[in-house]
Amino acid sequence: MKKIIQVALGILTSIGGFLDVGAIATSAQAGAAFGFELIWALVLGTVCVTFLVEMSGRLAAASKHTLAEAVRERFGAKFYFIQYIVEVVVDFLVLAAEIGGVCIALQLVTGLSYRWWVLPVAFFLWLLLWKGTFDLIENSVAILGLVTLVFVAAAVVVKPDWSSVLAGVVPSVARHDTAHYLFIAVSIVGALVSPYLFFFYSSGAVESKWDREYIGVNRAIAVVGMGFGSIVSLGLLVAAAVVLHPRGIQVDSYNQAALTLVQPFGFIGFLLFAASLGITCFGAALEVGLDQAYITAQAFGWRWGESQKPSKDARFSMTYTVVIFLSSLLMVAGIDPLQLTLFTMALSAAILPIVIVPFLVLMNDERYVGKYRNGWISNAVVIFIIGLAFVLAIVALPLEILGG
Amino acid sequence: MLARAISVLFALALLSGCGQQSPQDTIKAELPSIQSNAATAHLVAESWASGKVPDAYANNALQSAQSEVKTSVQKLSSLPAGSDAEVHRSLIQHLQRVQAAIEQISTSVQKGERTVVPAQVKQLGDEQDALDKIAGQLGVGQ
Repeated sequence: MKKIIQVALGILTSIGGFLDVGAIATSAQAGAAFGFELIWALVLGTVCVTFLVEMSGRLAAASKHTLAEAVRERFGAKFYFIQYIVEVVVDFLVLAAEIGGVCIALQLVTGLSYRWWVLPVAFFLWLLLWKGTFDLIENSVAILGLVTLVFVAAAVVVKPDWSSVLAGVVPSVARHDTAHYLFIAVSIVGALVSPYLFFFYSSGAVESKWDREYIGVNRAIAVVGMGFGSIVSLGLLVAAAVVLHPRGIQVDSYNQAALTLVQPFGFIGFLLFAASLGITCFGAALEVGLDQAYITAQAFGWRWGESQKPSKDARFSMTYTVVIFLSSLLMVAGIDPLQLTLFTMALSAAILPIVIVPFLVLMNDERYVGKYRNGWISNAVVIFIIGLAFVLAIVALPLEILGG
Repeated sequence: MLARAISVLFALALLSGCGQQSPQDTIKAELPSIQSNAATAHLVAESWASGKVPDAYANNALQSAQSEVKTSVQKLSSLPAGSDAEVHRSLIQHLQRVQAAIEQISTSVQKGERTVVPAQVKQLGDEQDALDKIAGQLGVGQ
């Protein structure tokens, strides 16, 4: 029974963890600009993230090592330091974008500029991390995150042509604006295969004291949780494709994205969009803030754990305090949250190789995973993802300039 | 090999980013943005008139659309007319009408004049149709 509850909570958490400001922004943009044409990118990203999350959890359960600890131990401090630096920079920008997303949600409802909300939101975020435990944070965000199921409901209510939706699963050539099409495709994959997710997930598994008995639980959470999360993103893309695309509305701001739910559900839809944006971004901001502290503490060998009192792991707590404050300053400065999100998603795609290559080694090293090594399917998928990651890394920034 | 490929891609990207755009390219880049902002203003105003979105949001969204359209229209107005001066003049006139229609709606929403807005939305719709036709003539599709 306990395991069933853990799986259910894990799946809920995965839905919350899957969706963030990047997934919302890129799905809405893709649907508005290209109709159903980019569904394949969503499917591709989902397959990649499902395999990698499953491996992160299996590594933690089998070796009791977080991903960061295993990389540092297996590849040496020099390699880990490079990985750590790029991850910290991207996490910093992602955190700023997530805080921006929460503030935009508050702006939508109140009309007060998002910049006024940045410091109160950052303070509340910090307070929850300071006072809360890992389970409290994960479970409350997971349950509140269910509001995002409204995107799935919207996709059904707007009555899309399901055969066209299905046709979107097959990769296609852009009918117009190729550079923008490819840029959005790369951003979708970058948003879904967020590097922070793997470090956070494995740290959470170690913190929750997973052992080899959790291998099956981990698999169920990764597959079902990521699958559900993907369906929510797909719901938003489909709704945007039906509501915004025929009217020629491109999503250049969250004001435009909000209209996706206004058409099918009226005023309630507007409020639910703001709630979905605010809750998912807040949940993701908690995870990214914690992730910064996890990887920093694991890099320097400090004591770490969200479930401990801040006085017991002062440097860990100080890390998330500092990064939340600095990230919020980026938003106070007035950077457009949507533009920052899209830039950061492309950057996430660009750093994927350095994050993903270690999976191939670690998940085949019996000293870490014992008999739970990768099978040929998992290895084939990792090799494919590594290849894809290199392609994305090469094209992400040029596409940012050409089509972003 | 890989480093060279990356350098070439960056160079190409930078060159295309820094290169001088022709008036035709500028029109192709700006027109879809104007059409998108006009369509946004249309849908926001329609939703506001039927009580589907709050006042603060409608004000914000309309002002933002208005400002974006204004910037784009200014940019296009400053372009040289080129070989087809008649089409260019007609385009600018239509754009100015779209801009004016959005400004009217924005003012009405600010004043809370819910009964006036549907007629203004219809007028904006007509201007959008006319603009779409000209965009089609110029080979700019949404």
